[in-house]
Amino acid sequence: MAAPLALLLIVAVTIRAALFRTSLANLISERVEVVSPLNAWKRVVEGLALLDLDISPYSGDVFHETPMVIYLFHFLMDYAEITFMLADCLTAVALYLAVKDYNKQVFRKQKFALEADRIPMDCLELIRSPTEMYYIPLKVAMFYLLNPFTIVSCVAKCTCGLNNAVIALFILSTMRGSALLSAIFLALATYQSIYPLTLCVPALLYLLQRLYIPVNVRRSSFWFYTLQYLFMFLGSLLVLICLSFFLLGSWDFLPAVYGFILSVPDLTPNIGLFWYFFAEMFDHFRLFFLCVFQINVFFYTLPLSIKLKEHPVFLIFMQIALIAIFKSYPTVGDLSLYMAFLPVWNHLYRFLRNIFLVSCVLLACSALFPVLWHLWIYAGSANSNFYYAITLLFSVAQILLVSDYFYAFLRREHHLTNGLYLKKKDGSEATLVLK
Amino acid sequence: MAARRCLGLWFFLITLCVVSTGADVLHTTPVTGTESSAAGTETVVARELPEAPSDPGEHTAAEPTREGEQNDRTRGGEQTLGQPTREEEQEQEKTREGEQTPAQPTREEEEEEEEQEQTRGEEEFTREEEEEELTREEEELTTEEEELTREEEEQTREEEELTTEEEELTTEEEELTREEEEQTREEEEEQQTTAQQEEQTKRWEATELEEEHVHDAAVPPLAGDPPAADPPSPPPSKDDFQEELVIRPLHSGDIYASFQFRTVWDADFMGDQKVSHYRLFPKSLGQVITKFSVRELHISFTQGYWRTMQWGQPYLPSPPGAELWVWFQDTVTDVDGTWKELTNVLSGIFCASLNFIDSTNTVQPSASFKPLGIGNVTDHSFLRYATLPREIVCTENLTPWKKLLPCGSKAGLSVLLKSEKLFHSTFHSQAVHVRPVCQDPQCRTTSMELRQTLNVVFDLHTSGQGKREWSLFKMFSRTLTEACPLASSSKVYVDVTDNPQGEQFELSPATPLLTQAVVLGDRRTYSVYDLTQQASFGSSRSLNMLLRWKAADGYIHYQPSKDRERPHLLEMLLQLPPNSVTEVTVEFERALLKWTEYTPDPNHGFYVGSSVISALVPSVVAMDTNSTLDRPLFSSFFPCKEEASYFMRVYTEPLLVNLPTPDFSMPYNVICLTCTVVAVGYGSLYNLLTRTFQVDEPSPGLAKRIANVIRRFRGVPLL
Repeated sequence: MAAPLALLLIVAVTIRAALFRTSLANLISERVEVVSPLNAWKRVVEGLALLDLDISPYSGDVFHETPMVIYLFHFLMDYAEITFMLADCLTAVALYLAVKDYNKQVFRKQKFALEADRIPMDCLELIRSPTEMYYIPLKVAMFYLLNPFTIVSCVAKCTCGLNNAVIALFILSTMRGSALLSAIFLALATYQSIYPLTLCVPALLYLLQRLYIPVNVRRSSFWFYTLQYLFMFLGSLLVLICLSFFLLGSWDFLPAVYGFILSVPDLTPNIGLFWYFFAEMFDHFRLFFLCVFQINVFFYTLPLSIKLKEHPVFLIFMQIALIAIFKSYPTVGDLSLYMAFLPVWNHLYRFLRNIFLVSCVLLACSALFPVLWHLWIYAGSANSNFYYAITLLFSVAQILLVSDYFYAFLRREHHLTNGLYLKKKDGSEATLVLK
Repeated sequence: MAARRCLGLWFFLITLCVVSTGADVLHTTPVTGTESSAAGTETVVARELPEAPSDPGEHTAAEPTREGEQNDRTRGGEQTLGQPTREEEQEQEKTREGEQTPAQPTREEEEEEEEQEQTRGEEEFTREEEEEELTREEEELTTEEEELTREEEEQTREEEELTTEEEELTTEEEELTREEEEQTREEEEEQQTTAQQEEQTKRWEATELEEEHVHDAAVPPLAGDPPAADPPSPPPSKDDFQEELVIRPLHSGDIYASFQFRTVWDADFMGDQKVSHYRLFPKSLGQVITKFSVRELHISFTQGYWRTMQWGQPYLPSPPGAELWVWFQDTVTDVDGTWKELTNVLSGIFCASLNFIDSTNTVQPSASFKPLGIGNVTDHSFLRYATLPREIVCTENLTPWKKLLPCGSKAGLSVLLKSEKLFHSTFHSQAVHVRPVCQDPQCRTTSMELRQTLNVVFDLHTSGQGKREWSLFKMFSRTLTEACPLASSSKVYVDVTDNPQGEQFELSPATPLLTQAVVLGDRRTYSVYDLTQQASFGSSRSLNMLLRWKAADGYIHYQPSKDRERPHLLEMLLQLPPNSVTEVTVEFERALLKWTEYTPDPNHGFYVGSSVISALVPSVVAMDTNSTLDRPLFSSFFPCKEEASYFMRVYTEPLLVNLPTPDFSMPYNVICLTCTVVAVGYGSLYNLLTRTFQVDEPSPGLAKRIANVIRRFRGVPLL
């Protein structure tokens, strides 16, 4: 399996290197769908220039990266392209290894269940075979590396590629059961952009499951482990923030980075829901809706964890997807991370209801973004509503995609316990509904 | 003026080439005939020159079959003849000045002549005035007197000018008064205008004084100059070797390094006796000179083109490719044959394709290539000139060139000549000049001078580092450790003229030794490192000069903006070179604002205020800074601390930026639609989270249900 992966990496790097050399790179790095005020490369360069002039990069409203990023690129400025390509490769390899581990585990669980005769007889066609699972890790890597969204994001030198790498490493270390590394990478991801905070719960669930510690409030071992993990997570987060303080000598970066993410002062159009909503918002409702929208991202964590407590990896996928949809400055790079997980849920395909429609909408929207942008900004023949409509549709498509997968997952689980072909009391075929 | 004449001369070469190639193709005219015909066209074109420089296209059109080749030559010719001609021009002008009416005081003239001796050789004594020294001194005395009278004349002329200007003023006054009479203005205004005119006359006087002052100030440093100049005494030994490196930081950030190695030998090559014992003078070259009876030989190999606009004038101009010009002694009978042989031999010596020089690219300029050494040769039939513009200069040319040096590349300045660095440059030119020069000021005996020069322009700015600083090691990947033991003088000069107070760049190790020299009509200041003295190497026993450019911008103050709080502020203190263009570009992104933040006419765009340029501009007239009281109001607004400059402020146009606008008519719609999407997300997840899968028990139809209700009332079993 190593040879195809190496080949894939070479192809991916070649594509990126070739694109870096073309004039497209400049064009792409200007696209609002690809870069946001939070992670545009241009702003990193600006921040470095300000740092060189002995001005705090956070004194203006241009730079919103964390201090670690600016110091990272202080040394890697000349190797920026290589850094971004490496970050993409690292993400792909980490996801590859993580999914490989996960598949092994799924297979083992399935074997135990079969041996214990817990699976109904008519569900044999839902059983996953090793041949089917063999190529999934490679597909995941391919979905990440050859996804056009990832490629444009890398070519635009959007720093969300780095965030993706950190999250992928977090997933890998969680899969491998290393609590400390998992906590450190999670802290790093949280430090970069608050939202990965919600991934804390699935990671904890996974690690507990791995150690066969039941999630029971009355058990001391549960509390002991939870507190240990939280301590590691918060500790490394604190270390990171203090390190930033010592690097910069001021707390300027807290409002400039986290305040900027949470209060959404920059309304530059992007693929998310925030920009037009808050551009058109009445001033006295602004704070209220800001809270509603931000809470929306964190809100689903608890119910989802309760519902999916047996399946933390699917929970991670759901969380990443919801963050990508509802975060304040989403870019296509965020999409590419959760889309890389879609091959892992290949076996849900038979339960998906509207995958065809959703993929068509996603494709059409991706094509329409640049067109309507041009019509609005340059040609002047369309107005902002056109672009807004497309972003709405794009968000709806993503929501439908995620909820469809969620539905399919739940339904499969239901079938695995209750049998695939359900009969009514009178023996006729029954349909399954949510009630 | 000089430029136009040079242009004319280029065209003149073009015609020559065409004529000779024509002869080549047709095979009708004999060799001597070609010469004479060439001479004929030469004169014709020369006569045409002052009227209108002819179009090169005309000549090339005459020979359509070999057009490309000719074009190549044409280009080479243009570049070849341009710079030497200019030098010639300057020389001629100088001699003219010296003979007719010396504009400068005599001391300065003497000084200049001394310097000319240094730079150009001592031949000019004989060429300019072939009279004896005593009479010359007498002449100088008379010229001094003339000078004095001339100065007086100048003064009187200036006075005359002044009076004419005053007359002009008075006429102006008259006009003004007439106008006033016509318009019947008030008396106050009249007073004001007269006051203004008084002011004006005052200022004129002031300038007059200042000019004189400047004139006076310019003289003393000249008198105090001599210690700086090179010792003019003739070399004590029979042969003498000097080496020198001049480094000039160019305004473009590039570095110009010019090596000169000068070997002077008191041997008489012109005489009958054979010269067979060679010490410092290269034997290979000496034999060539003897065999072919060469009076002067100039050969240069150049890679790249000298960018005069950016770099200024070079110390030694040379055309791209190879250039060779030779004056033969008048004892040579078959000049063309000797020339042919000489080119073949030189081609062997320098590993260059000089053997491609033949009658198709050889000319005999009659006006521009005078001998640079002594001797007043006028018969240009002993002169041959050829260029090979396509010649590529590389390592194989450098190695034989280095072999001509007494120290080879073992010691002295030639240690720096490493080919991998020298050819990694934007401009590279190496040359060999052999000419007879005077041995002593009286010019009783002559000696042979061999000058080997090498000029390089390093483009350190773009070649990697990106920082505008250089060092010897960075340029040549070597440092200096000793002078050539055979050299009588070994010096490194660094041009610090543009850096009088050390504000532009910083040179280390610093040297207290400064010298001034007049180069190309400009007085330049140089820091000197004497390699023959151990002190200049310091404790590390190696000399590695390091030059750091200080930030030319001086001062940048930038305050980045904060949305809805404060704007951007960018202040830069710049020192701009004259006749230059400075561009400041600001990149911006189009932001979307909240709908309440737009102006009532948002599609008009947003204004960005004017940029402000504040400058102290050198003034033509001096100003009295103290008495602002009695000056007119409009002339005394900006306080001015310096007499020689005035304050100026320039505002640029404001900028109108078109920002994207949201649709102002639909805040409710947007709120509703976005909330719907969020609700879709919430709803679908809520649905999946709270409900469970159940087998659908389809509820009975409405008719069936009603029927069952009725049946229940009736007590009949249900359906």
